[in-house]
Amino acid sequence: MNQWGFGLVALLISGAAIAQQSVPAYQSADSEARRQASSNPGVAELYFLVEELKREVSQLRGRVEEQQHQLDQLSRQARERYIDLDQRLLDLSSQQAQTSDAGGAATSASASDGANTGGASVVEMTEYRAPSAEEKQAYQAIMTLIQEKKDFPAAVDALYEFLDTYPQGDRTVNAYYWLGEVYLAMPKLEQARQAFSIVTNRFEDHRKGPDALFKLGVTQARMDESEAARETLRSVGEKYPGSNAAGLAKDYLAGMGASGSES
Amino acid sequence: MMKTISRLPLFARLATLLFLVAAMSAPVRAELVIRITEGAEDAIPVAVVPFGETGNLSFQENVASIVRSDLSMTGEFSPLSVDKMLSLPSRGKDIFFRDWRLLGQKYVLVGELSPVGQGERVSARFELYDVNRQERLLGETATVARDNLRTLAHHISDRVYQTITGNRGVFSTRLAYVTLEQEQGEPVYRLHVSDVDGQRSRVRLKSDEPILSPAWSPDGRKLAYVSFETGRPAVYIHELASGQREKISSFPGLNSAPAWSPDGDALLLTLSRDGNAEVYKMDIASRRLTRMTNHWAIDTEPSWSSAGSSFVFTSDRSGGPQIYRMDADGGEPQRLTFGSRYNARPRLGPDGDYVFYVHQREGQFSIARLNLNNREEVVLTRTGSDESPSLAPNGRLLIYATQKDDEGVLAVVTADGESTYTLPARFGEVRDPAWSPWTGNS
Repeated sequence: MNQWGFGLVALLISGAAIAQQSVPAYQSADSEARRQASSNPGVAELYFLVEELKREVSQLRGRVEEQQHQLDQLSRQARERYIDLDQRLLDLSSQQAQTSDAGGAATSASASDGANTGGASVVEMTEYRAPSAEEKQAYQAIMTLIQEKKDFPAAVDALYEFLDTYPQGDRTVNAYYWLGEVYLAMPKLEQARQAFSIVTNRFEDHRKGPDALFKLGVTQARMDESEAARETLRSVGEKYPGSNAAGLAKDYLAGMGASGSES
Repeated sequence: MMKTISRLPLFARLATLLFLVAAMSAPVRAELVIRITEGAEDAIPVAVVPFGETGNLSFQENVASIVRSDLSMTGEFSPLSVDKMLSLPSRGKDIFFRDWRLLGQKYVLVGELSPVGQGERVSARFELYDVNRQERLLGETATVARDNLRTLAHHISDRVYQTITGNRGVFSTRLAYVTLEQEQGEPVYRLHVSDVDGQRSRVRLKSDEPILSPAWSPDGRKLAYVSFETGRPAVYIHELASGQREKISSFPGLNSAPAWSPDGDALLLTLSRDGNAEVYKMDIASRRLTRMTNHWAIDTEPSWSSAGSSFVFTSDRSGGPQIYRMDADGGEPQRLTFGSRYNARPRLGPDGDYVFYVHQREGQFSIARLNLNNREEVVLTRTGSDESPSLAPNGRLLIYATQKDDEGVLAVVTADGESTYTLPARFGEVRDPAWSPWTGNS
């Protein structure tokens, strides 16, 4: 069928039997070369050399075109990934701003939700030690590093330094959480998992608790641990009903379900 | 036989081989019939009620059923069958909207045919209603000669299609295609022009030698094609109304794959007059040639962009056939296809965003579509030996040649690959379909 098209041409070009009978007119120059080639061994050698070189050049041209195409694709993907990452960080920082603004309100809301459902596992939020002015300033510098300068390695260093200096307090939990976020963005998934786990295990009653649990689920999903991820994401709604993170976890779970059925 | 094949253009040879091979099967004569093989899931339910008739008419054609098959061909509509209809109104005031809502219909088309004068002309009054809003969307009258009811039906389909979808319909356009039959052991090639549903086909050229690659002029009045009637390939321009033909290209060697420029003043051709197959532009009035491609590999099968600023073609300069795009005023051709080792016979969509072509993957030949903006490739057909794609002028349907039960048939697929229709031909072999552009009166 179609595949004969090219095979046939190859046959016509090389097949001397057919060439004698009826040479396609557009190959007459070619057959002239072949006729001369058969009468002169030197020309014959040149003829076959040229044919060989043509084939070789075609193949190389094909390679170059394909690699150029791959390069174009890669640079486009890199650009798209950067834009995606940027967008996610922007979303996160606005989310972060909302959570800290509505911190108190969210706490009382989730507490009353817990009372209504009577769920024993619902976590009650607690207030942590408020930061000093100096602490606030150091924390703000790290946020600038993450959100504006996007210098993630420097941010990781700064976060560890902050955690050393202020081993407990409200911003300490925030710092663990942001350590997770930065690792997730880099992406260093195992480190991200550990950082989020610190928040979910040790500070589950902090206002960052629901977000950290959600992000832990996301991290697990990216590590292809879909079972663990599903369980974690489901627990967000159980532990923190009515929280913003519970909604996000639910959406993410739904998305996972869809991509799961595709494969 | 070999003699004929060996002279054919590279990428068309296989088509001829298929002709020759499949010509053994016994031809049965009949019109082309549309058969729905696959439908889109979200097709719009529409009821086309049989048209009422006043006067003593007794028509040969059933206008409503032509409209129904037109609409289902697009894959965008699923017309209600007549035996499910609870009533058969022919006027808007007789429609019980509740009935149609019960049947799940979104639109109802009613109409009436009546004779004009002595009955040599027929007038149709037709109305389209939105069932949910109980609102008339369309109310028109059209008049045609009595033996032209199919033209009328296609016109009504166009109006309904445009009213509902907002896109221009293609039911009044035409198809050109080539058939091959064996008569007393001799091959006979025929170039046909038919309605878009395969009906009312007329033979425009008959020859003992191959006819290939018909291409419509942008005004829909002429066809350019390759004919071997003189024993060697030559490109002809054939004016359909007068039947006048003109041989415009018969250079030594290859003369193949004509493609009209959007302004109709020039043709792109594949010629081998300077040694091997290259794409040339011929100014039709002056016959002046401009060489477009220059490579020792084979360059062929050009297709012009609708703006005329560039064209795509097939070249094996990278070792196998791939599709390249080149500016019409020169420059380095840019390779477009990378998905597999074989991509050929490109056709650009009307808006220039997509290119459609024959694509080989895992030994299967399919029609694929490449999005030129994001380079996303989608395989549209699954029949396995598909070739010769040709686009409808609205860019939403694509006709191609394929094999069904060892017979060459034509099939239509929506440009998104959602639904497929085959037009089983009973002509032996049917090949090389070409979808006409819109013409002034359609």
